[in-house]
Amino acid sequence: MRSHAAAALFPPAVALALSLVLSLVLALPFAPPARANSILSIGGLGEPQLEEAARLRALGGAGAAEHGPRDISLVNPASLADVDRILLQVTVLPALRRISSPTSSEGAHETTFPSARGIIALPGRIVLGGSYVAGTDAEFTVIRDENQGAPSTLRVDGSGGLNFLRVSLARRIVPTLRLGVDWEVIAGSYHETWRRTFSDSGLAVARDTLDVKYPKKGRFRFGAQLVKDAWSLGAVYEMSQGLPIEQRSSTSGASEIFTGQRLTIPTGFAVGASAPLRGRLRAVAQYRRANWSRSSLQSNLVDFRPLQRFSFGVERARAPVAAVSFWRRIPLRIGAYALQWPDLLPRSGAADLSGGSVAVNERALTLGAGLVTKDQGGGLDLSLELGTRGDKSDLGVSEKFARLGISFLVSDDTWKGSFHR
Amino acid sequence: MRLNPVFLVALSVLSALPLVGCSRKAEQLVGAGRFSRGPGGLGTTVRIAPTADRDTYVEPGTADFDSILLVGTSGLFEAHTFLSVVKWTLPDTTLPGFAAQTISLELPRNLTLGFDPTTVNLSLASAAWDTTNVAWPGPAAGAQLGSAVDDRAAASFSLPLAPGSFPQVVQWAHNPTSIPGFTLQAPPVQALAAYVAGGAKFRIRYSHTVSGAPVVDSVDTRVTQDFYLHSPLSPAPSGVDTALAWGGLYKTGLALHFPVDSVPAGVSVDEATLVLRLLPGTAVPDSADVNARVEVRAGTAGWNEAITEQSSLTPGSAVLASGRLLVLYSSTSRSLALKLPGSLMRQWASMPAVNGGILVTLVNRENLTKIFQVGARESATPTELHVTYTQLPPVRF
Repeated sequence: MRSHAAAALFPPAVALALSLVLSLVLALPFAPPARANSILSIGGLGEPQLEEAARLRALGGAGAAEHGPRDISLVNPASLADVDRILLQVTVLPALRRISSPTSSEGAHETTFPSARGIIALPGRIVLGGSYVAGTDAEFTVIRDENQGAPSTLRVDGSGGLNFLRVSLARRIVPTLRLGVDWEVIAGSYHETWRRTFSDSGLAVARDTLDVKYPKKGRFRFGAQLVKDAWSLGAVYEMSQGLPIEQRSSTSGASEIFTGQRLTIPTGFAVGASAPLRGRLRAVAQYRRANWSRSSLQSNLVDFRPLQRFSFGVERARAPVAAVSFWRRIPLRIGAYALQWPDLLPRSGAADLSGGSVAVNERALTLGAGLVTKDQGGGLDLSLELGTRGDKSDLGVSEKFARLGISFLVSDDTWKGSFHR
Repeated sequence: MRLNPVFLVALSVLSALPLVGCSRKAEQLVGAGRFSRGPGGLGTTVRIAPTADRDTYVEPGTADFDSILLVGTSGLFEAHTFLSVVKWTLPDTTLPGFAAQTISLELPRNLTLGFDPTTVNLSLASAAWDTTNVAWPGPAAGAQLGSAVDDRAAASFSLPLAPGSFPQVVQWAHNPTSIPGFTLQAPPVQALAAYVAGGAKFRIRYSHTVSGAPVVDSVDTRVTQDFYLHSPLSPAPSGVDTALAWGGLYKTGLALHFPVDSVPAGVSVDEATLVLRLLPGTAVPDSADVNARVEVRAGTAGWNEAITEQSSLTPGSAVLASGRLLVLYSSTSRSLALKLPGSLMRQWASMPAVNGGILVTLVNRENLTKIFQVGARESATPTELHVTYTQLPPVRF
């Protein structure tokens, strides 16, 4: 009864938003630092992140052809074109990992925030969006004994990675064509704290830092969608951007700065399709590529190949509201993806690339479901990703992971009809 | 739309779970071997232990404005104390039956040294002094005002002025600048006497009558400036001594210079420890040194081993490192180890020209006569500087 009273006081979507905010506020004081994400993030640019919300994560990340009032994708800006209200979307990603070497294994768990997004429908059929997108995640912690000179135990905590701050514009040009553009600022940095403790108590604990920074520069991403009945095709093109990087090693009272290297965020593209199968079933597929190469960053510690992600998924859409069965009203999703990391890392035991490089390949099966509010504006989506990456023979380690994606989508239903088409 | 309360609760719980429930537990050991940053590894920790390439011992100067006043001799050490009064306090001479009785200089004894009776003379100084440059032997003794044997027995020593000095004091009170000051000196070969600085005062005892009965009373005049001058450091360091005299009545400090040019500029300094080794047979720190502290200051000027005064190093005012003598001392190795700031090592390494060495001094000593003999670079147990450093983190890319 109390909730009915609350519902009477607030519009449903506002109550939903308040509930979410309240939960976050209550939880934040107890929250540990969110960290991630792969032992393979120790070098290179870090673990490539899939920015999509849980609904599309459950479909293997195939979002280039998604469209609809709430079926938005972070890959294709054109997917916003049908949004007719205010949408807020946040995704959190708790993960469990099992890291194995030829001799031992170890567990880890962490939580990441791959994306957050706000969208508003403007007059003139224009949709404006703003989002935070995680590009790569370079969180790691290693503890290792060192014996070069005085014996010590070295703990290195790494953080940072590539991030993007994105502004999106989209518009449905004609009923079958949607166009969108992103202007994204390439942000982020890499930070490492080195804490060296010596077995000789006469030696002070050394705390040094390593920072990798680059100027924040923007680039464009262009997207388009062709929609015919239940069929849709989507495509995205990303422009490149060059970033001079500065690496600074510091300790109390001293620092060394290394410049002259240039990180080039390469061009890329994604193409995807959504096709009806039968009844409420549809299939989605996507190929995404970023043209990383040796010229993207000259380094003896990491080489690059094109990032490629192959995504596929099948969705059983929710039945009409009138359907009697609760489970029939739950959408079900299943998918898979194969990801080729762009980073080519030194072989196991090698100090650099002089002995050759090893690629990191990642594969995962994905599952998901969701709930939608009755106004179909907001909802909760869940995804589960079960996958592996790395290999013990060449990289020296492999990882198995399970990731639970949780996305909240909140809309302002009262906006509808008051300020747009 | 009507929100299902179950849905709201589920949302709340699910939104909180990722934040509260998933504490960080990172991989730490498995896969740590993948952490590689080039052929240089993750940084080598290097330890060097240079001995001093210059060392000697130096005194602060012959004027001492510290908390003690010395008079007399101890071996080759000789000290004179100087006093001055800015304003005198006189008794009310209009009191009924007023009669000046005695005038004395009251000196609180410092009984931590100077245990033998000694004769102390109070005289007018023959000339005024400038405290910014006064040095041994200072103004000579002029007219003697009084003399007494200090038996070194009680907390206070009273040195009476000659009878009939009251008219003189009245004159000094009316014109304080008419006299340059006072000096306390001992006849030759008299033992050393020590007093507490800041506590000396002239006392005028007088009598007067109250209701027909005699009453004895007194007024005190505080000595406003006191210090002592001592003879120059003797024997003076030769530059090739095997022992460095540290402490003693001359309050000598150690002037040390270490070459640390081999330390790269961009390193993390894990250790910079000064190791002073006491020579066999020398005094060692004990319970009497419980309050003694070691202080290190950086020298800011070039110097050679012929210097005898600390001013030749132009030591900085900032204490770079300090510690309690007893804590720093290891009876096992008969050495003292004191941590120096790593920033000093980096400064010396990056700019050898500013390496003016260090001055190591002892302060707050109870026993000023105790001398620690520290091994010089010419000895078998020279002073060392242990420096350990590690290269900065190598680059990520």
